[in-house]
Amino acid sequence: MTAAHYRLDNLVAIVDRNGLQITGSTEDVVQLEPLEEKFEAFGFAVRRCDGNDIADLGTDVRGCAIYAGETELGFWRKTRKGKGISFMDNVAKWHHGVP
Amino acid sequence: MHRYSQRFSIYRILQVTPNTFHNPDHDYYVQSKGHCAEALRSVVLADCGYFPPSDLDTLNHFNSHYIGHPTRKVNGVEQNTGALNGHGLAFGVGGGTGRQARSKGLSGFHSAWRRRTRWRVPIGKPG
Repeated sequence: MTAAHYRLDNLVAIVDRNGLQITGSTEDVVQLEPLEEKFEAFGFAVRRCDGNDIADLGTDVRGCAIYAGETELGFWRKTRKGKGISFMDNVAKWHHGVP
Repeated sequence: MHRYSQRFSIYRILQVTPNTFHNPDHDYYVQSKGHCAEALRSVVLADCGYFPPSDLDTLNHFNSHYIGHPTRKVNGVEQNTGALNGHGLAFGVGGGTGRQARSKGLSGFHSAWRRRTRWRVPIGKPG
């Protein structure tokens, strides 16, 4: 609300939407969806990118500078926690675990 | 140096270096999820040269600044975070509002990012 009120064009919010929190799936604990529409309702210009590919994120960030005249910028990252690590991939307990 | 930070992190596009970190008008990165502090420090900040990688040997030692959450006692960390609930966004809004005010010539809006003591030792009091 504050960011939209002041029309901050120097703020980028990166949402790592991996779907997990410390006790399990975010949708099982307290539903977040539709999160994209919620960010838009608060004045964010939401863009999606592949959060597991940092190069894709970089492209999006640079591209969004074009839209810097708008209210503010938000990014919607679709990620998988622990991606590529067999025993951690999308397992909630590794939110806070140490191998 | 920069083997990992430029490939795997947001620092590949941020306009900030260890040399410009203490100036007011660089890009700020605030990490809400404090549990990822180890990745932030080892993959990014040590790799970028904010502190010697050997400092990480003190991880979780008594009185070490290298604990399980980001803390401003570690060079390169903008804010203490890790209370979850995205409270980094509130820091970001405050910092963004301050920068906007400064760009309009208003004063007194820079305290949110003001540097405190520079800590140069991995354990104990400021060096």
